This record gives sequence, C-alpha cells and structure tokens, in this order.
Amino acid sequence: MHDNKRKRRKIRGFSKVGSIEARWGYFFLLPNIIGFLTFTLIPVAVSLFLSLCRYDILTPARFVGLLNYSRLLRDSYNLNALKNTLYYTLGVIPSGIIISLFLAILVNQKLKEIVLYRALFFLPVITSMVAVSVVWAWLYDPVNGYINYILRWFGIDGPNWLGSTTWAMPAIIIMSVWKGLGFNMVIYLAALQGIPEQLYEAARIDGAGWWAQFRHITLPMVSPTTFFVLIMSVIGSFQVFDQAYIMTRGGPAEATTTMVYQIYVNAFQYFRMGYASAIAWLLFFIILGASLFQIKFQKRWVFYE
Amino acid sequence: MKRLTICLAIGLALALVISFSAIAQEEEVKKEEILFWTWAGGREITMLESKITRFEFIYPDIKVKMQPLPFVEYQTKLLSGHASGTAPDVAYYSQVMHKMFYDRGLLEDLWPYVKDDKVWLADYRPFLLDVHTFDSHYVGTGLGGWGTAMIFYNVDMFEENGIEGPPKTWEEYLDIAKRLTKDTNGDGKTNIFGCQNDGSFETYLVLLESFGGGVFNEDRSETIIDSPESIEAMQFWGELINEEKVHTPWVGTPGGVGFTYNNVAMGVYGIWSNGFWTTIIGDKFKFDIAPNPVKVAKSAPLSSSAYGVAIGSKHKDAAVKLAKYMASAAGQIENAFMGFAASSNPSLDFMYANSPVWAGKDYQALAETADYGKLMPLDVPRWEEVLRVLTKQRDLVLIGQETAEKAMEDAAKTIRDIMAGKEVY
Repeated sequence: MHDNKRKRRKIRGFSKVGSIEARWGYFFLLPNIIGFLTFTLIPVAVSLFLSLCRYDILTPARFVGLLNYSRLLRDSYNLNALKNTLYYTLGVIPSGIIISLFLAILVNQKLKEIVLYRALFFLPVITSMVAVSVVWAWLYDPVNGYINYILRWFGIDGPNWLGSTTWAMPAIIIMSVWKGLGFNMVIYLAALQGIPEQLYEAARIDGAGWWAQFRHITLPMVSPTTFFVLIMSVIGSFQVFDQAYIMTRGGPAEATTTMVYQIYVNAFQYFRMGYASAIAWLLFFIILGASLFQIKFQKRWVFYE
Repeated sequence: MKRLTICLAIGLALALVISFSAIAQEEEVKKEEILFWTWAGGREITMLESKITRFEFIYPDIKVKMQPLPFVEYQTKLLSGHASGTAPDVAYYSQVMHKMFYDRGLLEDLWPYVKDDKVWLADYRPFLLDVHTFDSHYVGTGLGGWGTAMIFYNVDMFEENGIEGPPKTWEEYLDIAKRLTKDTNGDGKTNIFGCQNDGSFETYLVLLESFGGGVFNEDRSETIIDSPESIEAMQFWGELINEEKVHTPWVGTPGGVGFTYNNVAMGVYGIWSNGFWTTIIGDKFKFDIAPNPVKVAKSAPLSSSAYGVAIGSKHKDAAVKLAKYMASAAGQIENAFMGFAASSNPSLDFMYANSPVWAGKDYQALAETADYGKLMPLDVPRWEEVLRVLTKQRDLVLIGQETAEKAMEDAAKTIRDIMAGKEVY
C-alpha cells in the first residue's frame, strides 16, 4: 500500500517534470513552427485555394471550381513543358549520378593535392546559377563560344547549341550536370569513406579485380546514398527553371519551356495566379508520385547494412 | 576630352542655376519621405543617386528613399506592393507595366499636374506624352527618353572593304552583308559575318514594318502578321540566316556578342546597347548608328519606360514633384552620359550628341526617329501572350524549321483567338 503510494507520487513528479520539459520543448520549437506555418504551410494552403480560383493579384479572387485543373491537360504549352521537364529529368539524373560517383572515386584517392581537387569540383555548386547560366550561354555561342571552338580542334562542327530545338535541352542538361556534380560528389565521397577497407582486402585476396570490387562492394555499399541522391535529384530536376529562363527564355520555339517556367509565365507575366497554382499542384503530385515510386522499389536495389 | 569638359560644364551650370533658384527659402521644414523603386543597377544607380541628391537640394522638405530591385522580380514585387497597399510612391514602370497598372486603376493621372506647366511641357517631346497616355489619362513621365532599334555598323570594317556608309535598303543590306561575310582563317568556316539582328521585339518590328507589314493594323483592331508584307519580311530574315548564311546562326535571346567581338559587320540592335558597347568596345574599332534600311516604309518602333505615381500615395504632391523633376531637363542631364536612349528633352540634344557615349555617332538619326517612328503595340490586351506566340513563330522561321508563310499564319490564328478573348493553349 505504502509502496504503491510512493510509486504514484514518483510518477506524478516525473510527469510534472516531463510536462515542463515538453512545454520548453515546444517553446524552443516555436520559431521553427512559426516560420514553417508562415512561409510554408499557409502559402501552400493558400495556393491550393487559389488553384480553384481566377486571381490576378490586383482584383479579388473568383472561385471557379476545378476549371483550372480541367485546362491543365488540354493546354499544349503545359503538355510541352511537362514533356521537356521529363526529358530534362531523364537526361540530368543518370548522367549526374554516374559522373558524380566516378568523380567521388577519383577524389577518394590519397593524393597530396586532393583537397584542392575536391574544392575545385565543388566550386560550381556554390556559384550563382544566374552567373553560371550567363557564362555557359556565352560558351555555347555557335560562332564565338569556346565549346564549338574546342570541338573544331577535333574536326567536329559543333551545333548551334541554344538556337536549335534539338540541342537546346541537351545543352541545358550538360550545364546542369556540371553545376550539380560537386554536391553529389561530396555525398558519395562520404559514403565511399564509410566502406570498411577489409571488404576490399578480402575481395582482393579472393582475386577480385577493380570492376568486380566496384560492382560487388562499392555499388551495393553506396546504394543508400544513391537512393538519397536519386530522390533529391528527381525533386530538384522537376523544378528546373533558372537555366531555361536565363539561357533560352524557354526557346527556341518553346523547346526548353519547363513546368516551373510555365508557372512563372502564367503567374508573373499573364497574372493567372489560379492557373499557375494549379500547375504547381500538378507538379507537386508528379514529384510525390515519382518519390513514392522510388521509395516503393528501393527495397529491390538498396542494401542497408 | 574637350567635349566631355564642355558637357560637364553645361550640366553643372544647369544644375546650379536650377538649384540656386530653389534654395531661396531656407526655413526649417519637416521632411516628407517618399519611397522610390527602380530596377536600375550598376552605373544607373549612381546616376539616380546624383539626381536624387539634386532633387532633395531643390526640395529640402522632401526625402527620397530609393530601393533598387532586380528586374526579374520587379514586376512581381510591384504587383504585391499595390495589392497589399505598400506600393512605392514613385516607381519605374515599363511601357507594358504602365498599361497593366493603369487598367487596374493604380496609377495617378499626372496630366492635371503638368498641363499648366508650360516650361516643363515646352521641353518635353510630345509623343512621349502620348506613350504614357491611356484614355486621356497621362500616367507616367519618361525615364530617360525613348528606345528603338537601329542599324549599328562597324565603321572600320566598312572602310577597310571600301563600303561607303550604311545600307539604305534591305537589298543593300544583303549585298553589303555578302561582301563582308568571310572565312579569314581559311578553315572552311565563316568567322566574320556580314550581319546579325538581335532578338529584341523592337528589331522584329523593324523588319516587319519596313517591309510594309507589322503585328497589328493602325487602330490595332486586327493582326496583320500574316499579311504578304509581314511574310516577306520574315522570309527575308530567315534567308539571311539559312540560305545566304551571311547572318550569325539564330540563338534567340537578345544578342550582339559577335558585333562587340569585331566579327559581325552590322545589324539591327536595340539602341540601349550603345552605352555598354561603347564602354566594352573602347578603341578596338569604331562603330556608328544609322536609320534602318527601307523596303516600303521607314521604321523605328518607339518605346519608353516611365516614372509612375501610385494612386494610393500618401505623399502625392511630393511624388509628383519627383516624377516631374526626373523627366525634366535638369533631371535628365546624367542620361546624356549613359548612352542607352534618346533625349526626351530637346534642350539636351546638343549635350547628348556631344557626350562621350554618342560623340562620333549619328545621334541626329536617333533623334529623328521621334518624327517618323511608331509607338510599339505594347498596350494591346494580353500583350505578353501575343509576344510569346510571335517569338515562337519567329524562332521557327529563323532556325529554318518552318516556312515564313506557315509560321506567320499560325501566329495570326492564335493572335486572333487572343484578341477574341479566347483562352489560348
């Protein structure tokens, strides 16, 4: 009886302390919660509401139901933007992942100047996309650009990169892969450095060559990282905008118009905020779908220790 | 150097005369602060600071708080400002933005404030009043003259090849372009191009209008982009690139890299390029401007951005004073040294023509565009959508993927739908 009383008192005391701590916890979370509500959750909710309205910022919103959504799939500009965005995503992700893994392996060597190389490869990541786009637009110039100039050394007549409906998107993909390499490289580098050396030693003793070691040790061991890089890259690539806006303005002949570019044009040039919000929600569901698909199928190829 | 000294001296004298006449009243007054937004950057900011300092000297009871914003997000911020009641008292408005904001009743009519100011009106080009007048409401004072597109040509290249002066017709333009297109290093590839027209809408219009075509008819009630003249103009431009190969390959975005690199002989470019190009080209080669070639008609599309005053401004009088001052001769002095537009004030023409950025160039030809140029059709409803259609079809012709006839017909069909108020997908 006495014991039970003491236990109850103890629990009460404990829950009191717990409750105070919980309050302090919420208090410390408050700045983040306020920020999240103000700058993320409320705008997201408002954009959902606006996607059901006709709204041009300056005059009050008018509810139109699902009209904006019904237009989405009939809009040839929008379908073209979706196609271009998928093209960009399919172009930028495999090459970005393969090259950054290769680079990570290269900079994982024990060389004297390796830190310098790592910094150099990372440099484009921290450079402004606007500045990079301007420089690359100049590099791609068919007459004065260095890319075609170098191609001519090898007897290759370079294309009119940004002036061709065939080459404009590959040109943007190449630039974007270069720009994002450093970020993925650093993540892969951390993963590579986490692979126990004994695995390679054992493989070597068993007579495994470089390719076998890479295929049976490196690739499986970095697969969780590849999964992370893949998810992040897909999300990022579906939101491509700056490059297309600065280098080509979506041209030539709409060949590089992307989903976010469509959102921008509709929102800030045509002032169709409702329709732009509907496109944004479509983009959200596409990204959500792509992410869920990857999460579902990751069990087949991602190996966790 | 001598010219620069003269110009600076005149500028200083003008500024001092105006300033001293205004500082007679020296009583202590409480300053009224007005907010001013601009998309200016770099040298233009320095220029605005200088103007504002002088304005505050003349009107000691007004303090101007200038906020420069990046151009890419300028329109969005301005919209949000008006929507939330925090719009700047005075702001830069492009010609397209002016119409858009006026239509929504957000800009003050400035006409009552300038109509009786004979001095101000006497030194302000009348067509600039028209540019910013909608339904008899004058809603903006010119930022710094007007813009257009004109022929820029490499004088040294012309002289070295024995070519006398710029082309007067498109036939001459093609002929000169052929003569100046060269493979100087013998690698079988053209490395000097005879011409390159930029990707601005002004240049697009120059081609269309000089052939007798255009985007809209005179009263803008009907599109004429599929008229035989417009089609002929686009076909000519396409042939320069894809058949004659005397024009640099089409890149789409506003260009000019080749011209400043000394490997393009001439082209139709936006006049705003002059200031920057003068700086970067320096002594490398001499270049000049000239009226656009003619096929049927002289062409110079005119556009002008302006200072607008928000209708909800709590400091309306002070804001109007700033807008008026900035467009007056005293407020435009520094623009003569920027080199990106013609002078809105006839009294400054001499200073403009002799300023370092215009000296040695045919500034007079630019000033004369005010006499025969036409206002750009930027005030038609849903202009941005029209422009997107025009740009797409132009690109298709210039990259050789579509005939001029088909492209212009497609453009016309969509523009007619837009004009009929239909949603265009």
